[in-house]
Amino acid sequence: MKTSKLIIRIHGTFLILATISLTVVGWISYCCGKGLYGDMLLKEPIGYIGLFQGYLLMTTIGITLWAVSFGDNPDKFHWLGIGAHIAPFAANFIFWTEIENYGIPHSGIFFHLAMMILEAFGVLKSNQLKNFQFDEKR
Amino acid sequence: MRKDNINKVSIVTSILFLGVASVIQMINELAFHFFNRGGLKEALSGMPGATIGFFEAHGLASIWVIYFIAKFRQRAYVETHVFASAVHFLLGTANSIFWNDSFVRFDMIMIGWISTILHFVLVMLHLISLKIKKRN
Repeated sequence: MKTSKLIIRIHGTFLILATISLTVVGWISYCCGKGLYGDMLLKEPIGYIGLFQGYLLMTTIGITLWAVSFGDNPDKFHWLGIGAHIAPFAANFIFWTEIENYGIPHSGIFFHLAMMILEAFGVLKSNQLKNFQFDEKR
Repeated sequence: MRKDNINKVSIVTSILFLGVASVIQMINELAFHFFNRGGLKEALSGMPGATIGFFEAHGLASIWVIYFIAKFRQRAYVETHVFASAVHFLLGTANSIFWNDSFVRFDMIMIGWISTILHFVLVMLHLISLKIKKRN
């Protein structure tokens, strides 16, 4: 299998599994005040609305990546893979104090960064930048 | 001609609706977080953590908008209809599930009705367009 396709499929699968798990974990915190977001959602239950939408929107991106990895030319979807992590990655820094105050781990930064680097590697492997330069020269 | 209009109108409406709403909301969330100002000031007062999820969700919605614009320019209508209907179904369902915790609590029932109905109308329009496209 082409490396580019493999990267997109791994990323898509990871996103589907991670976001569905986090939606369930968030739901438990929302309902019972326990788990990863327990402290935050006990005090601010409205916070789950955004998390629910955000996680499931990420699931749809995961399904998209997974589905296109079976197609002929999924190379451009590396950009969707990178773009999908920008807002959650930025949120980790913008809301650093709130995340810290509620005892939520910052491990999300590592996962977002790892997936963006993986997709960036996919961009390089698929020669998109090289082709772009070639077109510009012409 | 009319069939083609439904096809384009549904995609353009989705792009405008999601694009404008997500960008305005992200600006509101940042204004609330950094300067304690904007449209969310009253609604989210004393709940700084609640903004995290909203910011992520609106950021992801805007990524979908960029994707829809790219696909629309490539005339990849079928893909756009499939994903746009899924996104609108998800957001409309989220509005319905959390109706009391959001629109009722913040006394924004009219906005709730308009946005939720628009999400489901767009789901229908995208599915109709998809059916027309598949038939042709």
